[in-house]
Parts: sequence; C-alpha cells; structure tokens
Amino acid sequence: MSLLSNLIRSTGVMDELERLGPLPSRRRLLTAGGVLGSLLAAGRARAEDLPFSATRWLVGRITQGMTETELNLANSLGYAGYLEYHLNPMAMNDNATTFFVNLYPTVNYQSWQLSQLPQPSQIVRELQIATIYRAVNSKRQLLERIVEFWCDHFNIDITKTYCPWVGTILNREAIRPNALGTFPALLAAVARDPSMLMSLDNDTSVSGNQNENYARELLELHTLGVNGGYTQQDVVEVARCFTGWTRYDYTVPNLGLSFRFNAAKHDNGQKVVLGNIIPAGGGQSDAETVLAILGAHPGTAQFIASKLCKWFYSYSPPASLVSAVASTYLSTGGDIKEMLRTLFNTCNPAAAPPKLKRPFHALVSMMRATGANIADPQPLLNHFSLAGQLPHTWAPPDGFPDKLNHWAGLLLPRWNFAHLLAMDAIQYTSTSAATLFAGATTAQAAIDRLDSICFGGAMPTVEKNRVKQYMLPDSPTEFRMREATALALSTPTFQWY
Amino acid sequence: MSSHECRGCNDYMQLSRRQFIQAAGGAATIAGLSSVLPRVAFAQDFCSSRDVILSIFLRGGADGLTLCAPYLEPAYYTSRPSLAVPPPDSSDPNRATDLDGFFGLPPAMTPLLSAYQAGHLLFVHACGNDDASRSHFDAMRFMEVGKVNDSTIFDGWLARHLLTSPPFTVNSILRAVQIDYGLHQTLQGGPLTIPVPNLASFGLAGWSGTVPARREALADLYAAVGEPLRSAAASTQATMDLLHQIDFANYAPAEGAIYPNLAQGFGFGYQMKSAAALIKADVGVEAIAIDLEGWDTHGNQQPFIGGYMHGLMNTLAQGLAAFHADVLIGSGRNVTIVVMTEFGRRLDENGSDGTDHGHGSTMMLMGRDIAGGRVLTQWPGLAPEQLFQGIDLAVTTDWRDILAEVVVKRLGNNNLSVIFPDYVPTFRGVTTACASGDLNCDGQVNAADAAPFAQALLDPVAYQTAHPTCNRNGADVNADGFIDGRDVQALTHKIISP
Repeated sequence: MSLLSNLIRSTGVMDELERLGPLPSRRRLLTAGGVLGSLLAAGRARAEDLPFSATRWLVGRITQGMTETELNLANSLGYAGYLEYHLNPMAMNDNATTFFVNLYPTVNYQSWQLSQLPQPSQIVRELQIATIYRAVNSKRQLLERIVEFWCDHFNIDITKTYCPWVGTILNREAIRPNALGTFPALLAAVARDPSMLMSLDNDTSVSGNQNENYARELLELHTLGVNGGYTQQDVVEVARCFTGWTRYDYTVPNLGLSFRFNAAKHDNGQKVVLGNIIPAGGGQSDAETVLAILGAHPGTAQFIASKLCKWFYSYSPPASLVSAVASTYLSTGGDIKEMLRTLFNTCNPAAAPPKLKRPFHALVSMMRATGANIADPQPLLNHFSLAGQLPHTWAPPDGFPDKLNHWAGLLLPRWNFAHLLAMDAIQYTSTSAATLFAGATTAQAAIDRLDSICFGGAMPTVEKNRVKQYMLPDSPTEFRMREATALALSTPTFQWY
Repeated sequence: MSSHECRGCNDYMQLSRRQFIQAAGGAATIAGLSSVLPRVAFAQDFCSSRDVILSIFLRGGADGLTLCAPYLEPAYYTSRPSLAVPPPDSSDPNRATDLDGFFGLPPAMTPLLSAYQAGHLLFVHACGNDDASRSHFDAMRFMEVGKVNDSTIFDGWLARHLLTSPPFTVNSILRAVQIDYGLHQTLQGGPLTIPVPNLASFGLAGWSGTVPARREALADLYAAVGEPLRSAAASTQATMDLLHQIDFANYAPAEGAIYPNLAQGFGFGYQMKSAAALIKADVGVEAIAIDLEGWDTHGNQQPFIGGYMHGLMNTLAQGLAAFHADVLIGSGRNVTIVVMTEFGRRLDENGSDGTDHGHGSTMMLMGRDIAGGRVLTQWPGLAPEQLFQGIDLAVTTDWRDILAEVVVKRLGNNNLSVIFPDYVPTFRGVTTACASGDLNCDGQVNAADAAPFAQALLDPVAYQTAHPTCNRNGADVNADGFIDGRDVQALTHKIISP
C-alpha cells in the first residue's frame, strides 16, 4: 500500500481531490475515478511485476511505441544519455525512412507545383502516408512525437479552401524544421503559413472589416490560452494587426498559394494589444510585433509548458513541473529542447500516472512492437480512420483531443487492428513469424518473446498468464500464436504508455 | 405480446365489441369497425414519461439568425447586406418561409415545416449561456457539462441524468451511445455508455471459429483493471451482441422518411437512420448523441441555395424531418430531440462574407410532447443598445431552462440539482401535457372519452363543433399518424388500465 500512497501523494491527485471539495460522494468518485482508476491500474501492475525502470518509462514516453532496439539503446545510454540522443535527431542516419517517404512526390513539392494539381486528394493522402510511415519507422522518434504534438497545437482544417493543396507545406516547412527549435520561431513560421491563414480565414481579413478567427485562436489556442488574460478587444486589435496577411491566388505563376502581405488591405491605424501600443503605419511589422509580444509573454510560457507537460508527463501534471518548464521557456527564449530537458530531468517518472495511447499512437505502437514491414502504407489509411484518428483529419483548430474520457470507450477498432496485423491480414503490411516468435515453439517461449517485444519484459503477470493460456495446450500452431499476439497487443496494459 | 407484459390485455381481450359499442353509443355505425378490432399490436402507453433522448450538437457556433431569421428586424438587413435571408414577401428564391409573423425559415430549413405545423418542432431563440468568452472550446464545455466556468466538473449533463435515473430495463446493456469515434463531453461519465462509430458494423474481426475464445480472453484481461477501461471493455463486449441482433442493413424507414446522403454510407443522414433503427429495436438504449460539425462560418458563409451553409442546414433539416416521419409519426415511439450549439454568430457580417463568434443562438426541440409550432423567445431586439456587448444577439433564455424541463417532463427525472448544479431552472413551457386519448379534454382519459372518440373517428366536423377547444389529434391514440380502428384498441386499453 505504501507504494500506492506514495504514488498518489506525489502526482497531485490528492490536490485534485482536495480541490473538488465537498461534493456528493458519487460525483466525487466519478470525477476522480478517471485519474485514480488509471493510477490504480498502473500501480497494481508495477507492484506485482518487474520493478519500475525510469529508462523503460522514458522509452515509452519519447517514442511512438517501445521496441527492443530502443529499450536496449536506452539501457546502454542511460536515461539522460538516451534523452540527449533523441534531442539530436539530425545526427541520426534516417536515410531509409527519408528515402521511402520521398517516393511520394507531393511530400516535397513547392506551392507552385502543388497549385498545378487539379485534385488535391493525392497530396493529402501522401501527407497521411508520410506521417504514419515516419511514426512507425523513423529513428527520430522524439521528433515524430513532438511533431505530432505541434500538428495538434497548430491544427488546420485540411479540407478548407486550398488547404488540401498546401497543408503539406505547413507540415514540412513550418512545423517539422522548428519542432525542436524555439517556440517564437515556430509560431512565426506558422503564422505566415498560407494553410493556417486560410484555415482560420485570415486570408480574407481586410482593413475596416477584419476577421477575428485567426486572431482569437492565436491567443486562445496557440499562445496565451483561454485564461491567459486577453480580452475581446485584444482579439479585435490583433485581428487588425493581421489584416493584409494573406496569400497569392493559386493562378499566380511561381507564387501561387504562397504567403503575401497585401499592404492595400492592411489596417494602418494605431492598435493596442495587451496594453502595448503599436503605432500607426507599421504595415506588415504590426503582426510581427504581436507575435514577438506573445512569444515573450509569461502567459505563453505557462501555457506552452502546461501543454508539453500534459503531452509528455501526465494528464494533470504537478504545478511545480509546469512552473519549472515555464521558467526555462522564459530564460531561454522558448527553447524547446531546453524545455524538454527540464521536463524529463526534473520530473519524477515513478510518480507519473500512465496516459492512454490515442488511436494513432496505439496502432503505430502495435506495428513497431511487431516489427511490421510496410511495403505500401495506403491500405493502412482506412484502418486509422476506423480507429478514429486518420492523421490531419481533425477539423477544429484545437487538434485531436488528448483526453482519457474521449478515447477510452473506443476499444474495438484497436482489438481488430491488432488482430488483422498479427494475422498478417493487412494488405501490404506484413508481420513475419520469425520476427514475432524468434523460433519459439512452446507457449511459454512464445509468451516470453511477446513480453519482450511488446512490453520490454514488463508484461504484467496476470495478463501474461492469460495470453499464454490461450496458446495451450502445447505446442501451439503459428495461427494460434498469431492470435495470441493480437491478444497481447489488445491487453489493457498495451493501451497505456 | 404475451399477457404478463401487457397489463390489462386479458381484460381487453374479454371486452366485447358490444360493451365498447354501448359505451360509444352508436351501434349501427360502429358495426363497420368489426374488421379492424381484434388485432392488438402493442399495449404501450404513448404518454409515457420516459422518452428516449437524442442530443444533436451543432459544432462551431451555428448562426441562429440564419437558421430562424428575424425578418421583421431592420437591423438584420442593415448589418448583413450580403447574408440576411430575404423576407417572405420578397421575390428572391432565397426568401424566408414565414413561421409566426416575425421569424422565418430559410429555404434550406423548409423540410422542417411539416414537423413545425404538426406542433412537434419548437424553436427557442436568443438562447444560450451567459458567458462572454466566445471560445468554442470553453462554450462547448459549458453547454455540455451544464455549468459555466467550473473546471471541477468532468461529466456531461446527460451522463448525470443517466446516473440519477434507473435504466429502462433491469438488465440493461447499453444505456447511451455516441455515434462517433470518441465520446463527447455531453455523455462523458455516463453509465453503460460508449462511442460506436457505425452501429451496423460493430464486431470482432477474424475467423469466426475463434471469436468465442478470443472474446473470453479479452473479457478476462479487462475484468479486473481500473476504470475507464474496465467498463469500456465490458460495454463493448455486450454491445457487440446487442447490435448484432439488429438488422441495420435491411432497416426500412417508415413511408415518406427519406434520410439525406445515405449513399455515402456515413454522415449525418446515415447516423440519424441508424439511431432510428436502434430506437425501434427497443433494446434499452435511452440516450443517443450525434454531432454535426461545420457551423463555424467565419468566411463564405453562403446561406443561400447552392451555398455551403445552405447545404449544411439542409442536411440537418432533412435528417430531422426524416426522423420525424420515421419515428415520431411512423412508429409513435417517444423520442425527444434536442438540438443545440455552443453560441451564435455576430450580427454584423465580416470582411470574408462570413460572421465571427457571437453569443445568443437558437435551440430546437422536437417530439410529440413538445409544445411546438412556434418560436419561443424573449426577443431582445437587434438595436445597438439591445445587443450583448453592443455586437451580438443577447441571451434571454438560459439553455438549462429548456433542458431541465425536458429532463423532468420527458425523461421523468427530478434530480435537477445534480444535473444542473448551482442553478435553479425556470420552466418555459416547452413540453405539453399528453393529449392522447383525452377526447373531451378534461385532463383525464376514461370512459367519458369513448363517445367523443367515436365522434372524432366518424364525424370530425361534428366532433370539432361539439368540442371546439379540444384537439382532435388526441384521437390518434397510437400516434401512427392516422385516426382509425387501431386507435380504438389503444384507447380501450388506456381506459381499462391507466
């Protein structure tokens, strides 16, 4: 019990419960239930089985799914070393993945090339393929995790106006290169991206008749957060600053759908944003001033720190951790790597309640664990859709939710994907018996192998025994062992990270 | 229906035609009814107080000023030169169809006129919450958890209704379902509640020969883990069997019910049709939630024929109208539909031919016991001093007033302090007392209604003359849209076993 009470004390769940105050007991239980329940589940697993390993935990948190390779690497580099390794993605040789992704030409097209395509479905499809393939195969796993985070943070509606044509450029040129850079640079790159401007209607926002959509979401979703202290008047003033920030029409040679500042549409009057006077006549620099103000704002530091802690650490991170990361933001000009160092080097891994893998993460981690070989990712798109998370298909600007109670109910598609994957029944994605079972012929040998590749040896005894039981009596056929693999990937523990 | 489930059926069976005819007092004319008398198809009481509830959330901030246009307001036209729906007396094909002399429906919404004229559809205008944030995500949260600005609430108002009311049946398997890939806030925390993206396709993949063994393994694996996975897994397993019994593929809606865009195989029309099939299957589902996205019309709102918002409104209207014809009329099931959105949109149009986030909007209620056929509102007006913060349609009716009355009167649940914490609702009269069978409109259904019923059936003009203030539709006791011999059986049953 003491391990459990330590876990409870150090995660801030008690704070959470305290804050709930005197509620009817059923409600109190229900509201705490999600957090506490998951905590108990994790606590039970850890107490019975393999002792907690911070290194193994880190692998689960900074990759899109644990593999033996990553676990071995982490054990040899140690916690801090493994973190540093993944904070330097460009030092890794990732040629195989890069080569494969480059087979899809639109992933690398410029605006003018994309504008020329009569239909955008190939462009969106190739972006989705690239996202899935990289998540499964790239060595640059932390990069993929944080790119996923920023894609949700700066989400666009890829079906809107010309977004299906140029949404791929937001991903390639604004988000990916800046994902581990500084937040102000990332923010500035996204702000001038044509997809972002179109998705949030800033491309049609003009002097005297500004459109508030982008301005509002810039403040609410991208920087300060809804409680960050801005007012409706601030939204209006920010919108005025951004008038004229638009894009060329797709018909313009060479420049079609790329960023354009249209001075004639810009509101040149004086503005006041968050108490800062922006003098008249600033032109394009008005919006740049706003971005600089926001990029340096303590409210932004707090909001971004909070979101990073929620993404990487827990649904309800301790205030102290968030503060530490926010301080790092302010003292480093928003250096994302530094924030991640603070996060992972000062947090308490043992006290982190598990998080539920979202469907994308769950399916990717299943493919990683089983060493799936994706010859053609296209048939996978439908499976991700059925699981509820085909990449880049969330329309509102807040991105796919990262909430336990949103995703926890939809288990069936995960069970079904696990089954089809393990039975080698997904078109052009194969799982080989050699990789899955490494020559095992008995139920015990097979379950030990599955434990290693899916759980890094930490499969809870209760679940391990039950899946082994499925393969009895000895010796199981390959068919039976594959069905057991599907069960292993469908276990409760595999759904958490 | 077996006799133990049908209270009073034995008595009914024994009631001779002669007894009924004597009560009705018209021997010769009643004789002709003999051919339709004997068959008992049901013994349901159509004034039940436990409706199924269908909650439809329009995500993005749906523009109430277009959905239900205040065509008598001059400011509507001066503020929206490009977007306002033309008044009914205009020759423009996009003109509004008058509803009540002040508000009108744009052409996209006219499929709803039938339900409106039947008195089953209610618009509530200038409705919403009183928070000024205009943030989608805050506002949706407030509407769905049933309180503004309270971060300690994690479950939805409808979930709390389910938690404080008994299930329809003792061994209920699935009480609520979200027809989507994720559970939205309204139903989060609900008992026996899961998201099911496609009701027609919810089963375990792989060789059928090993399905039982695999299901058993999955059941064992999830039996002792914490929430929310334990319940999710249990509900998933039970729901697979439940839904498998229902033949969604061959479900035939009632005549005249045409759900939109079915050929797609997904989307709003398909979801509404699936919901109808699920409800008619009577398997104990009490609440269904369906989302309709795309209402955040900041640019190119296009409310007119051929345009974006027209298409979206038309999808909504056709889906609701089909459901009305299919379920509310066709089978007489008791369902209340609630349609709401997180906020309305700015009175002024913006520079992108759209509208920014606003405040007050429109709610809709649909059901046989909804006091419809009107636009309920404490209309604040659109003059500058009447607008919220000088820019938006104000909110004069709190959304919880509407929902609370539905919860008490249509769902039979009085636990309002739990469902809508820290708020005391004021009922606005959005529900009706059930008129079914009360042909002399004295507030009771008893033998005194037999003679007026016979008259309503055989001589409507005479009936209306004799009972000028009564609603002849009360003679449609089985609510199938017709007043005929089947209503004789239904009324008789009601009289014998109230």
